Amino acid sequence: MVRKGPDFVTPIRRVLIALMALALLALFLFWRIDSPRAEQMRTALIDRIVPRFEWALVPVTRVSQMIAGFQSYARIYEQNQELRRELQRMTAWKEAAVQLEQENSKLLAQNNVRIDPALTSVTGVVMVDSGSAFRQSVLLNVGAQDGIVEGWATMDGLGLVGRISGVGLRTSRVVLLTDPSSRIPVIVQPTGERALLTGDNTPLPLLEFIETSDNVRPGDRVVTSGDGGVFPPNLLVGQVAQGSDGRMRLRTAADYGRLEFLRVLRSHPAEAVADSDAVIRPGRWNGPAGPQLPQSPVEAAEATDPLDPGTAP
Amino acid sequence: MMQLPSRDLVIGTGLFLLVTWLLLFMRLLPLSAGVTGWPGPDLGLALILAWMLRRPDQLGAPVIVLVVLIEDVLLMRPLGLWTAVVLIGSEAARVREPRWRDQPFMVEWLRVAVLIGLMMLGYRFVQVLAVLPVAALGQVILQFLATVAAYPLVVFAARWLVGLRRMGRGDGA
Repeated sequence: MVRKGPDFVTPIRRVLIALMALALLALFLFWRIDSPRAEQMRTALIDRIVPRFEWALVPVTRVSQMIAGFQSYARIYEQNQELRRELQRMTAWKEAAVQLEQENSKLLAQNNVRIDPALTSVTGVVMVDSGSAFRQSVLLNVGAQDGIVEGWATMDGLGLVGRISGVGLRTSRVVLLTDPSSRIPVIVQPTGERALLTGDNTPLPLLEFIETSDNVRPGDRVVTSGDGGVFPPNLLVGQVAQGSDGRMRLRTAADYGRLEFLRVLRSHPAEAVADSDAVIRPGRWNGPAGPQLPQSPVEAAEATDPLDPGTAP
Repeated sequence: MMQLPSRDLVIGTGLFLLVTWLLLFMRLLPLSAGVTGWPGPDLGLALILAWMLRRPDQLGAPVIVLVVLIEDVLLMRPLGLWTAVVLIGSEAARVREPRWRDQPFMVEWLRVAVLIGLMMLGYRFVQVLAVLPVAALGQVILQFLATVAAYPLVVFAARWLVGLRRMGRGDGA
C-alpha cells in the first residue's frame, strides 16, 4: 500500500486488534467464572462439529489400524517367545487362582456379599482423541440421547478407563485416568489400603495419600473404593507399579493403547453432580434410558442413603 | 479505497485454512487415543508464525482468531486465552516483519524462539493468575523445545508443499 498523506488505517487497525484481544480475554474470564455454562457451550459445539467429519475419520483410522496390525505381524516371533514365557508363569498362577477361588467362594458364602448386582452399561465407540498435549480425554459417540449422565464410570473390557465429563446430545467426553484433573478414590487389595489415584499426564498415574506405604507393593490389585459415591465400588482399575522416582504408581488394567469400544456403567447419579446439574439445566433430562436425576437437592438427599456403603447387604 | 479482496489474498487465506484444518484433523484422529507420550510440537503455532513472517498480507487477524479458537474448543483448552496470546504474538510479529525481512534464517529462528517462549510464559502467567491448574513445567519446556525445533521443518514443508515464500521486492509494497 502506498503511503499518501496521513495514515488512518494503522491506528484503526490497532484499535480493532486490541478490541479483539479484549473480547477473547472476556471470553476467557467468562469461561473462568461460569465454567459449567462455558463447558456446556463447548460440548454443544463439539456435538455439532465432530460428527460432521466422522465420515473422514473412519477410513483413516481403519488404515492406521491395519498398519499397526502389520507392524505386530513383524514382531510375531518375539511375541511368540514372550507368550510362551508368560504361559509358563500363567500355569503357576492358575494353580494359585484355583486355590484362591475356592477360598473366596467359601468366604463369600460366609459373608453372603454380592458385588454390584445391577450395573448395566451402555457401549460407545471412541470417535476422536480430544485432548491437547496436557489434557487426556476421548470423545464417545453416545450422549444425552442415550441417557448418559455426567460422572458415570467408563470401562473397556478389562478395567476402568475414566469418567464421563461433558455430555452433549450425541457425544460425551471421557476424562481418562491419566488426565491431570482426574482424582479417583481406590483401594489397594489385598490389604485394603485406601489411596487417591491422581492423573499427572504420564502413562502411569500416581497413587497418593497412602497411609501405610508398607502395605502397598508393586503388583497389588487396585479397585475403586466407591468413596464419595461417584463410582461404584470394586471396579478393577489396575496394578500397583513402582515408578522410576520410587513413588507408587498404577499400571492401568484398561488397554490405553487401543481404546475403541467403551462401556459406560449406569451407576447411580452422583449427589454432587445432581445438585449443580439441576441448577444449570432444569428438567432437560427426559431420555428413556438410565436413572433420572432428582429435581431438587432435598430429593437427591432422600434418594440416596448417605450411610450406604455401595454394596448390597 | 475500498476494493474487493485480491485473488492472491483469497488463495493464501484458503490455503492457510486448509493446512491448519489438516493439522487439527491429524491431531484429532483417534490413532493414539489414551497413549500419553511426550507433548509434541505445536505445529499450528509454528505455521502461523512462519506464514506471518513470509506473507503477512495473506493472513488477517480474524483468520488466526477463528482457527485458534476452534482449536481451543476442540482441544479442551481454556476458551479464548491461548487465542488471545496467539493474536498478540502474531501481531507483534506482523509489526516487526518488515525489519526482520532481510536477515538470515538463523536470526529469524532465534527471534521466533524468543517470541514463542514469551507467548508460553504469558499463557502460563495468566493461568497462574486465574488460579487454574497449570501443566508440569518440564512438559511445557519440552513442548517449547519441540515447537522451536519443528519451526525450520514447518518453514521447509510450507515452502515445498504450499509454495510459501517471502514477498519479493517487486510484488509487495
